[in-house]
Amino acid sequence: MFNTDTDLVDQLKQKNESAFRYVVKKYQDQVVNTCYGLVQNKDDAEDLAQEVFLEVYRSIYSFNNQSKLSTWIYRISINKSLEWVRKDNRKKRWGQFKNWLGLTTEPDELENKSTLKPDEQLEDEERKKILQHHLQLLNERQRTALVMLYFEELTYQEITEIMNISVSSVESLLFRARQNLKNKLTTYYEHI
Amino acid sequence: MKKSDAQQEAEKTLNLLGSFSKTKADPNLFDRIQPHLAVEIQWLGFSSNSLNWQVAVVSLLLILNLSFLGILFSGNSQTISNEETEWSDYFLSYQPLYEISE
Repeated sequence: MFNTDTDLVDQLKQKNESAFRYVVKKYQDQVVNTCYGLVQNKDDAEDLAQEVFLEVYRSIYSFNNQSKLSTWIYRISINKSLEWVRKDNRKKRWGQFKNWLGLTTEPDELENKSTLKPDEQLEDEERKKILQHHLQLLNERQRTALVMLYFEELTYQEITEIMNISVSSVESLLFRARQNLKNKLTTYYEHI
Repeated sequence: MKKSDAQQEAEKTLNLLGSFSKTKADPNLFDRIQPHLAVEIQWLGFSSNSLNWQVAVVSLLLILNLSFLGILFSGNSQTISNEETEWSDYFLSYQPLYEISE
């Protein structure tokens, strides 16, 4: 239907609805999976995907084919997701503050996690939940790099283009992210 | 748990990083976006059309101008006068109800 990204972008700039439908169909899994990797909630990822595509629609005029369309959409997905995570963290901090004041008695997320008993028979699913929770504790850049590598299975080169950093920076970012995650997990297991 | 055991557990958990299955989007995602898109099209249609903007700006200026002319020729100077004038007008026109005799 559209031979190149340039054709597609031209049609998008003319607000062609079938071009937009094509973009949504083509990139929806990529967008939802990226958002899910960063926010760790399917419903929120779906809502964010809507916002991402509306942003694509609104901002297509600013896209000037200097990068691939998929790279640009990845960037929007990451930005929207991190924005959402920041807002969510603010809400959680406010919830904790209200707990502290005794205004509400919302259960602490970490308390729920600690009811899991790690032993030799610990199921992979439980481990994944622990892993997802600790992924959220990494800083934004480290989390983004890990999600791009492990959730989206992108190459270092692709991550380089999306994050706009050098390959060596991506390598060290991923090394530090894994190391950091391992330390956090070790501390977690030590205390249960 | 001992540190060495905790490290082993951490390593096992970390190895699951690559085992997450990809999350699929709702196949009807476009249908969910479409109502929002209709609003966007209306708004973008307006914002991208410079003629509409020109019409909007000229209309606004016309309204402001008419309002100003309305104030100017309404004869009600108090509307645009400052507080000092109002008070001085008040005192000049003040007629005491009772004459205070010496």
